[in-house]
Amino acid sequence: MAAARCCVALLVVVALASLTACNGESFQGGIAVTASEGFADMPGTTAPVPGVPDSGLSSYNDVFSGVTDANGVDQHPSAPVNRSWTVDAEFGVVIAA
Amino acid sequence: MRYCHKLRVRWAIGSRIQYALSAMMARFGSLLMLSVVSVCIALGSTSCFSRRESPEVLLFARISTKVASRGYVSTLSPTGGRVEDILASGRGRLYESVSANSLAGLSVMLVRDSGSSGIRTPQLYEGRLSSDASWHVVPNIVGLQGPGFISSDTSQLLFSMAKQSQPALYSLWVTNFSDGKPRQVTNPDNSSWDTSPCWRPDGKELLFTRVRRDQGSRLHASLMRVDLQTTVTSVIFSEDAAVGYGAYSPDGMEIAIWSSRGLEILNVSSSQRTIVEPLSNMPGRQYYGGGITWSRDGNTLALPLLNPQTNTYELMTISRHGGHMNTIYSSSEFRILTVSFVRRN
Repeated sequence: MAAARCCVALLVVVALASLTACNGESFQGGIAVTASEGFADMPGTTAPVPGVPDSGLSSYNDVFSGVTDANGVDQHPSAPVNRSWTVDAEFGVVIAA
Repeated sequence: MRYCHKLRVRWAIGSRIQYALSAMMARFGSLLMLSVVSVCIALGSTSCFSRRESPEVLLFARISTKVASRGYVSTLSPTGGRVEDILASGRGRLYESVSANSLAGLSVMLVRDSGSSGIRTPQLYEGRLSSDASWHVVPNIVGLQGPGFISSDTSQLLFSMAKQSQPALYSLWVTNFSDGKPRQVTNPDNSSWDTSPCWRPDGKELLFTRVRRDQGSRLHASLMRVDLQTTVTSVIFSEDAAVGYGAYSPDGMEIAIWSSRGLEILNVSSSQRTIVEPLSNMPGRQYYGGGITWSRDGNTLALPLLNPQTNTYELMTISRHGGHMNTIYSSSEFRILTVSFVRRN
C-alpha cells in the first residue's frame, strides 16, 4: 500500500494570508487548503480532490476544520496567521452517508 | 522674365535640398530606414500599423496559491499580453469559476462567500460581467455546488454538485435558465466523482471525467458521456486508456483529449486519434483539470498547465495542427481554472 502510494503525486498546499493585508475587505485573511492528487495511470495529470477533510491546530490552540470543495479548495478566512499551524488533510477518503 | 527667374531660383534651391537628401540617403540610407522601422515596431498599433484585435478572449478564474482568499475573474488575449481583471475577490467574496459565451452576455460564476458565521458553501450565481447589478443565485437547490458551464445557445446550465452529507461525491446536474428546475444526469457510485464536464455544442450530450479511487487508494480516470434525454452514460475511454480529460470542438465532430501521450484530437466518427502536442514537448508539465478550450474557428486550443519544477502555472495556446505552442501567461501565484474562449461582444 505504501509502495503503491509512492507513485501517486499528492499535494496539499497551505496558503497563508499576508499579515499586512488591510484593505477594509472582510475576506482577506486566513488559511486556504488545496488538495490535488495524481492519477495512477497517467504521469503528468492530476485532479483536484473534493471532500478531503482538513483540520488545523495552531501554537495558540486555535483550530479550524472543513472539507475541500469541487476545486479541491477549502478556505478558513478567520484563521489567524501570526502563529504557526499544523495542518492535516486526509486523502483517500470518499465520504459516504 | 522675372517670374521665370524666381522659378529658376526656387528650382535651384529645391534641387540643392534634393541633392543633399539624396547624399544623406546614399550615406545613411540603410541606417535611417532601420531607425524608422524600429520606431514603427516600437509604436506598434498606434502609428504605423493597425493591429487586428482577436474577436475572442480567454476567460478564466484565477485563485492565489500563496495568499488565502485572493482571486480574480480575468481575461487575456489569445496572443498574450496583459491580463485584464474583471472581478476581484473581496468584501467577503471569492470567485472560483466562470463561464460565458461572450463578455457582454449571460455568465455564471461559482462564488464562496464568508460572513460573520464563517464561510458559506459554494454557490453558483448568474448575471453579466459588464454589470455589478442583477446577480442572483442559480440554480435554486441546496448542496455543495461546483463549477457551472453555460450551453452554446445560453439556454442551459451544467454544474456539478455534492450533497452536504457526501462532500466528495460530485455528480452532474443540468437546468434550463427558463424554468430553473435542476435534474441530476449522472450518478457515480460511492468510490467515484464526476468532474470537468463539457457541453456537446448541440446541447444534447455532455462529456465528463469520472474519477475513481480504488481499494489501494489510487486514482483512475475514465472519459465518459451522458445523453441528456435518456441520462444513459457510456464510456469513451476506459481507465486503462489513460485519457484524463476532454473537450468538444465547436462543430462537435472532434474531441480534444489530454492523455498520457499529451494533447490529442479524437475524430468522433472514425475514432482516429492524432497527437497535437506530445508530452515530450512539454517536459515536466502537469495538466490539473483547469479546462481545455477551443477557439470558435476550431484552429486553436488553450489549456493551463503546471510546471512543478518552477512551481508556475502556465496558460498555453496550441495550434490544432500542432507545432505552434505558446505560453501566453505564466504565474507563480495564481492557479487558472475554467478557462474558455469567449466572444468579446
